[in-house]
Amino acid sequence: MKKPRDIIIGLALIGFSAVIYVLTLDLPVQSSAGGLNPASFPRALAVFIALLSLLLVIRGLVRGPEEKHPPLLGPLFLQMTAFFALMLIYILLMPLVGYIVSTLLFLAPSVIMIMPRRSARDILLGLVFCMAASLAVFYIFGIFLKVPLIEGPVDEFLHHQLFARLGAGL
Amino acid sequence: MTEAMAALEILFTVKVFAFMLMGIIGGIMAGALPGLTATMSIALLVPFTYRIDPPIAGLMVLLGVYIGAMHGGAISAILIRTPGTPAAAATCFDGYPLARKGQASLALNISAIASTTGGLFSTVVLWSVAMPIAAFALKFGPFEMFCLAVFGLSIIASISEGSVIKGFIMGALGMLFAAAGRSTIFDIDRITFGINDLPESGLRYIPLMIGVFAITEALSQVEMKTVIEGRVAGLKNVFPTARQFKQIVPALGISSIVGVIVGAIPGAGGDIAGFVSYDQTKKASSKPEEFGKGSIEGVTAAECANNAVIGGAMIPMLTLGIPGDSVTAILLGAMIILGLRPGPTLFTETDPELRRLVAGLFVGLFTANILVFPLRLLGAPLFSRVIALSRHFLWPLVVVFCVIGAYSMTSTMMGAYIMIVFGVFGYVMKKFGFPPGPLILGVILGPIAESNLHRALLISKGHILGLFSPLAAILLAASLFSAVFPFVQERRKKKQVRGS
Repeated sequence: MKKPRDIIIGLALIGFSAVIYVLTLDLPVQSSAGGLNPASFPRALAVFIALLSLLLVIRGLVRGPEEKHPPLLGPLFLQMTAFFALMLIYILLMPLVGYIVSTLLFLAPSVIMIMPRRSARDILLGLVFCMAASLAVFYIFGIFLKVPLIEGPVDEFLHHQLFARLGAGL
Repeated sequence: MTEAMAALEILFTVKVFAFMLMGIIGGIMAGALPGLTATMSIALLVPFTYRIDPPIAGLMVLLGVYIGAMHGGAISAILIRTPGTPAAAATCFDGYPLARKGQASLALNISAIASTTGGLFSTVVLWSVAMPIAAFALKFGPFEMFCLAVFGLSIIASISEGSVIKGFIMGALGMLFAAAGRSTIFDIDRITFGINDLPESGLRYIPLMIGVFAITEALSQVEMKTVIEGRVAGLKNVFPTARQFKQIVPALGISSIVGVIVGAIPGAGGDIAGFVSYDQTKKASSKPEEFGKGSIEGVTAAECANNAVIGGAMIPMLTLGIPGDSVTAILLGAMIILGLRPGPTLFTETDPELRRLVAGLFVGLFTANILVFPLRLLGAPLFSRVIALSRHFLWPLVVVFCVIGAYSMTSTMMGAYIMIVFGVFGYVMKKFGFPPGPLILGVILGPIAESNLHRALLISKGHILGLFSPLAAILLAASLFSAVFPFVQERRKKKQVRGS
């Protein structure tokens, strides 16, 4: 095996193409007056992806020097995993508690985690940044640009009691 | 002309002008920050800009960001030898050595002059050739449009760094993702994986792009240790002397032309233009020995060409609806969301609002290219400090913008879920060496290819051979060449490597 990564991803993509092909089997194949049918395009793509992936697997098995890829796990892989977990919690929490609380709960631990040094001063500065950034983004996007944001009790209070007096926005 | 005057009037209202300024400043800052590219910044901003009223203001923000980011890329290339955008890669060759000699400010100001010249020149070329090309393309029938989309897809081979096969797989995956959900051609749900509330294709692909470009980058950046070298603060403004200015004039001429030509070739972006122009300018220079050691001509060549690419890349995008790279693919998507239809019919719009928007696009491009110049000169000390912005503040904040943007496109959390799924997809594919650009081309061009082929087949009652015209044959031959040539090049390179 000269390129194990290509073989792994090639096989995964062949599997994915097979799933797509199976999903198109339920679609009607009767075309109207000579045109395409709903299944033809996705099916053709699934076959195309499967063929190219097969080529990738064959190439990975038989020829060529090992390609240079970035390492599969970066030096701070665990930090990235924790960051992703926080991101997931953030979007799951947002519909429940609203924009500001969920953003603070995401920003504060993320910023502190990624900090190169964690002195008391840096952490305090980080927390002030998180608070200011959450509120500024809420005002600029939610109120000034009128971008829809999920509002929880805190957001509603700020929107209708505090920020409403500062200006209605665009 | 009436529309141009109307666009000019709207453009110079306080609100629209302010949005353009914000776009340019934001673009320069984003371009100066390694990791935040023009592509990613535009993908992040589309959900916010399409809500701005009048729509021309939203368009100006995006154009401002695009132009600003292409300028900003030079700042980090010169100061810390890290190109802020891939297009500024060639700027490092001479920009950083100049900074090491204590002439960082001179290098920054020369890059501002060169970038502005390239940008303005390419805008004038775009103005001159866009209408005739679009008028010619109006003769295209559905099958020719299908062939054009195939040609657009064939450039995937050129924009796939590393492996051409992987680029084509990403392109096909992009077309597949665009085909999933409700099909407007057949009025039927396809490959939904049992998810009933998938947003329609146009709204879905913005969260997809945010995921693939921004979330993937955020995860990758948080995984890496970053060391910044060079000096990023304490600059004093130094302008080129008359002699130095005279020295860079030939470089400006060569690079402007190279930039526009390279930009107009689908698949060749700012980075290639920078390298080609650098090479050509060095050959034509009376002081080639200075190149690589801090030549002001070198900085001029790289920066002028990568900004001249903007107008060049917009030629196929606006006239044929074929995006030449990831940035123009996202811009094209943003224009569709704003109601425009980039392609041959762009200049025959009958809706006065859309006509104003088209005129505003051209006038705005010119205005933004002029405005960016004083901003670059006056703001150099400020923009250079942006590079020092700590990444522990930056990347979590980028994620917040991503979530708000993805949510706002659909007004449901589905947008954010799609974004996360594609963020992980992009991250995994990056680890396996798959480029993200072709995916976006596939997402944009897939539906065009399918709908036009369907229409062509309906017209010919299924007889595919009856569809071939000389134009279609030329386009298909060009597609074949465009798709196969990089394979040949790849093989040749490998042989050379083995031989040496």
